[in-house]
Amino acid sequence: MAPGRKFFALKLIVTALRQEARPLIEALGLKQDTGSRRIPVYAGEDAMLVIAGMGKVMAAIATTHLMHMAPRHDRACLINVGTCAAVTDRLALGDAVLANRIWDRATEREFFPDMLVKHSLQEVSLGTFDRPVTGVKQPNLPCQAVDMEASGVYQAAHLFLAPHQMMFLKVVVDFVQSSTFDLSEMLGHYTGSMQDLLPQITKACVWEDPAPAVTEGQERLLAKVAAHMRLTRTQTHQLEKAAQRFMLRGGENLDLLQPYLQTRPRHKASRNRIFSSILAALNGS
Amino acid sequence: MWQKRYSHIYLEDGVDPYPLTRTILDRLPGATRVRVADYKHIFARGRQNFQAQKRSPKLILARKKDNWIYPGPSQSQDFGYRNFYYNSLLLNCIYNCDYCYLQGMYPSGNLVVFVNEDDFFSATKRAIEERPFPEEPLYLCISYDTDLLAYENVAPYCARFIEFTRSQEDLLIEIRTKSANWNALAEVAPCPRVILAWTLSPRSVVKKYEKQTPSLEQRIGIVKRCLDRGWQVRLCFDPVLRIDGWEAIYGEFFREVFRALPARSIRDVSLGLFRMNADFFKRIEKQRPDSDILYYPFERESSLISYPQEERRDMLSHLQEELAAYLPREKIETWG
Repeated sequence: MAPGRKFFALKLIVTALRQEARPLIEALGLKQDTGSRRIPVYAGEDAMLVIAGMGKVMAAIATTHLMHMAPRHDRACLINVGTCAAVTDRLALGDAVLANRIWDRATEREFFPDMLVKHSLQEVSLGTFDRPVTGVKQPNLPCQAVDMEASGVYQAAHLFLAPHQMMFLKVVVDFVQSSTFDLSEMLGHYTGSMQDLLPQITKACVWEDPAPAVTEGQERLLAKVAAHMRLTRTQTHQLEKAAQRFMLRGGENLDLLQPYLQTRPRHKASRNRIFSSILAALNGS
Repeated sequence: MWQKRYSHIYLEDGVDPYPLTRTILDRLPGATRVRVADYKHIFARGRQNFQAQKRSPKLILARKKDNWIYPGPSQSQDFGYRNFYYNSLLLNCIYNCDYCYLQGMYPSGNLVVFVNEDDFFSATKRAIEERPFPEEPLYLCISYDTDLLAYENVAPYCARFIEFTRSQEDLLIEIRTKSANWNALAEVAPCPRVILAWTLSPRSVVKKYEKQTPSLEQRIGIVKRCLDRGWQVRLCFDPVLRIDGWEAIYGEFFREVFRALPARSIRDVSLGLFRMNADFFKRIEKQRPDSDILYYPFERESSLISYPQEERRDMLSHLQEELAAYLPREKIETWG
């Protein structure tokens, strides 16, 4: 594939607890959005964070809320950050892990975020349970770690995003076989792993677009022409596609559209006539 | 930035006992293994981005539960064989050609390998027995919506199907490819009922639109070796693209091909113009803002899009004329 245009995707972060959110809010310099009262949302230049509360239902509600608040979805990366309990002794307290499979214990459904970006974390199959898990024997579970939110986040986010736009980062703070439920100790493990998590969050959000046919300046020109001519949404879309085709077929620039910035059609019929002539010029007919 | 190709292998429940699973896992020892209850849970997810996934495609090992063999579609190349069938041993292709319809046909850029090879062989045997025209062989394309030879180093399906074909007198198979994977064929004795079919394109088309594929020289090189060994070889000039200066480019290309290859040893040639299912095309257009060949003012005819009729006629007659200088017309099968 041809090298494209690198950009930073908007980070959309979902956490369950305020204590899980705090180090991220500080590290990313986020400020509380006072417009979102019931569900706490924090926002910055290239990141938004929501505090969902515990459990997959709350996680799904908060994710949907965040998605509606996000200015765009095509250049966004959703990251569920939180804590988990290890099922296997292959994992240690404080390990940051990345889920390559999410298994919902209640519905037995499984979900797969795409694993496209390089990383240095251990990968796990993550089970989402409806209540805290204790005293479970390892061989009975088809997962290496458990949490209470991931499947809710995935299902809600998948309504808006592609699987390559999702990432599930967890820190092992407990073992299901021998849980202590000591919150301050758990959060100590979580905070201690931030130096592993934060670079991963940044790395996962550097993306590449396919090399675009139309430059950003040309995109602005198209938007201006559409506004000036009062084109309908469908016509705007047709104009963008025609311009893209024109450039891909070897057009040097879109200067032929400049005169239309001086023309303001008086009525619909004349606008449509002018619009047809623009399309004809772009299509070379 | 991106993980390497096949960094992850997804294993469908039930694939472990199959020998092909073991072979593939042994050949990709560093890959992370992930369990999946049904391969469709990962391959058929909604909202996948085919092109994003092509940056780091994953491998899915699965069992095909039914439809081990399909009757060939009427608008496809049957080369006059009335018992025309194809199968899907792999879903998707390791290459990513700009014009490829798989981008619109499959929801995912990941590759599925069906490991239950015996089911495919049994189904083929049944189809041979039940073929509607018993006086003709069963003509089976085994690399139909994929490039089987290109993936032979991981999933050695070509060698196994060739051995199977050797034991079936009424079976004729076609293996279509752009691969130059000579190692996959070096140790396999030629079989007269196996047609190795190479898709060849002009050098400029390979460079611009068939990224990650072997060069024209490499493809010609392997064709030559196969002809020398006595394999049945078909050349596929398909799809022909209406690029600037196509007449001169394709004329020179044919000259180069038949300078390097003895035309009389070629079994036949397939010549086809770019065409695609309109629904697939619509899906691809949304994902490929970077390829000019998809932005030609095409014409839609029933469910297919292609060049306008007059241009098609003009291109086909010109190219047929060019090819006729090297091969008898009855050896040229035309599509478009």
